[in-house]
Amino acid sequence: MKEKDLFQILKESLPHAEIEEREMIIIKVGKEKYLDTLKFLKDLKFDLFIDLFGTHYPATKEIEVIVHLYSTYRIKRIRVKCRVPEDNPVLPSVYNLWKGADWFERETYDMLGVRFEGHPDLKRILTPPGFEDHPLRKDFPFRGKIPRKEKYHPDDKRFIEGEFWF
Amino acid sequence: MSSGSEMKEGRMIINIGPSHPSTHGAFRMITEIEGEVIINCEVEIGYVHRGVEKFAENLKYRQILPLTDRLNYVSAIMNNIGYVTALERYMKIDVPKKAQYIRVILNELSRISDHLTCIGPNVVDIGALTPFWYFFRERERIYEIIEMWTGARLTTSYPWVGGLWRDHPWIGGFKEEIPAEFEKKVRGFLKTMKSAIDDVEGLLTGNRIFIERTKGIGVMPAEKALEYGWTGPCLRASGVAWDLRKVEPYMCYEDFDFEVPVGENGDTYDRYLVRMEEIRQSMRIVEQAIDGLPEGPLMTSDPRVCFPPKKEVYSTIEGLIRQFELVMYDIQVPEGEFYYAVEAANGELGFYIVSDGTGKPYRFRIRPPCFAIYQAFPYLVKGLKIADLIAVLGSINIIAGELDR
Amino acid sequence: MGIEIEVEKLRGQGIVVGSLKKIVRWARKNSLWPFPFATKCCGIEFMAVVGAHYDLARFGAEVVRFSPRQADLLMVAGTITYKMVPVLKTIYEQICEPKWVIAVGDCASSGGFFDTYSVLQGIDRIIPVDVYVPGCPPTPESIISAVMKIQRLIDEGKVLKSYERERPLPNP
Repeated sequence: MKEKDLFQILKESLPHAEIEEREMIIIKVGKEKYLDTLKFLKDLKFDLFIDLFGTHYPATKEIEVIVHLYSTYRIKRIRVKCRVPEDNPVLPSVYNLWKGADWFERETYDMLGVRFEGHPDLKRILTPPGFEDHPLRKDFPFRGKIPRKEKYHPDDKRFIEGEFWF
Repeated sequence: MSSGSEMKEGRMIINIGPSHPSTHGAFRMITEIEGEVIINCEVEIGYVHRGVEKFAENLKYRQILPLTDRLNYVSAIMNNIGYVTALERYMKIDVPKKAQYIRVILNELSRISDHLTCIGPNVVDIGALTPFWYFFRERERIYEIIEMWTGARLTTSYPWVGGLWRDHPWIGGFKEEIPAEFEKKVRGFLKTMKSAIDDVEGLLTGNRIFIERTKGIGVMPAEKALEYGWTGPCLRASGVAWDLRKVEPYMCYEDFDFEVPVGENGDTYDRYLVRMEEIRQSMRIVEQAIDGLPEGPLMTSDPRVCFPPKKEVYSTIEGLIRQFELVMYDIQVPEGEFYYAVEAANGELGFYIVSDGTGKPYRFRIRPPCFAIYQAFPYLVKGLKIADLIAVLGSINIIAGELDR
Repeated sequence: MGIEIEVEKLRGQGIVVGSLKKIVRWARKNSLWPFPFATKCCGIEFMAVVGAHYDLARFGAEVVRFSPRQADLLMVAGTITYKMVPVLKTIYEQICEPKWVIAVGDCASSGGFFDTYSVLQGIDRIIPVDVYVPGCPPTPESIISAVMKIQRLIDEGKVLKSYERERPLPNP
């Protein structure tokens, strides 16, 4: 019975979003209602913050940001999806709702280039300092952009200044 | 922490760098200390980032399996099982009971191995050297059992969608009996493990020095732990009874009778106690599994994933076509996206895969448990001393391969 | 001729006769102090080598030192990424001569099967390597046999010259 209630509650209170249910309840929202939806879910006792990441869809020139949440009271998972254009990917940060979004948002910025407004310290986390690309975009080759035949000598200027890999 | 910050007199910045005896993995901690008390701490990771998610977009599903077992390399089978059960739950493939029981045995042995690797070096940093030797002797026994089944000690790539590998060295063709040697080794291991655990508990649990070093250090209250995204033994030590094996049972865990230990305070001592108790509960599961091993095949006969028997391949045209397709084009995962998680040794390990109908995934995302746990580290160590920082770092069990992928 | 008879008389009375080079090499090879630079799975196999089952202490390498000033054998085990390269180079330069390097595992020897944008394809692009150990991860017996090979290298007196003297600069 609780399942039906949750689905109904969501359908009634979020009229602007598309809601469906597969292995978990999936909510699709637009950029403007993203933060309000997540605030509403936090009030509905979705307290365990699981994941935040993104996918790049070059066919429609969009980046999709996905948030996974878990409720320890209702024992239900939920997924929130939001699409942003790839030229200017900006979204509000959910750091004030769940502190766990800290490093996940930094990683999404690093890998895909999505900027989160309101995040205290948005900088690169996994790639080396000085890296300028966003690796998980579909136009970045997985072997990287460094020519493989080149061997590096330690007196090479680029190595000393910490930028030898590009 | 940036170069523009003002430093009062008496403050120092100490860099516990990527190459340090007590960092179990490669990550850097930059601490600002006054005297010996930590005022602020900043963490830098990414020294083992290999780009696994990007790499997996160019590989077939069968080729991704060895990538997954290099994530949490201390308990490699658990990562494999996470990936394989995700595919099975999506494609709705039934796995025969015998294969599930063997998977449970290997899974729990890996979990024991992971907890031993966490506790052993953790107490070495605090100053107790003997448990390290006892535990690593037991780990060698686990390696022998896993090597007997899968052929490799550390990086197995063993379970596959639908059961276990069909062409196992003992199981050539259609024979599927398990030799008596396996059962003897597992039971022998359970006996020696029990005596090792009792020895180490006697050495450490009531030890005055150990209690003073670890009680009240690195406390994490339950609500903050949930906010940060903690799962696994660290969350259970903070008081939340949350285990995916009980909440969302997968892979026949509902057949076994075991308990989930929950701590009280959320400090380092509780994390140690929760892990020790989990080792005992895992031993209980292994014993129940090996006592009640059912009969049956070791691999499903679902035509989407399973090779046809050789007689059919050589005599009928359908068998030949099926064999050809499975070898050349690998399994075909239908279009769609899905996310399924298992309870790995550190917490919730989840796989999110977007499939576009070709043999390669469009997006392969791994939800690492250590990532969420380690981001709370600056909160845990405020106000502690450097020696306490080392104790806390060992107790949250960071594996750099999982952190950076 | 007379000297040899004198030497024969001395032997067996607690006196060892030999050249200084040989004695120094014998002392060096039986007291190697390894520096484990372990980043990944091969580090766990290294821990198994130091453990009680496969004992590295029988070869004199019991003292595992984590400071480069106190070690002479650098064992690089695990994937080295571009972010880690300055760290590895600094540590290699801080170890005092004579020093030897073992590249343990596939990832250190040649990048392993990670052919991606952030993995260094083999540490011999930045430091000279004496012995390569293949395997993913190599069995502890292979690692021990690599240490024995280093001992044989020391016996023959081979120390790789430092980087600048060995490899020419690339064209700027």
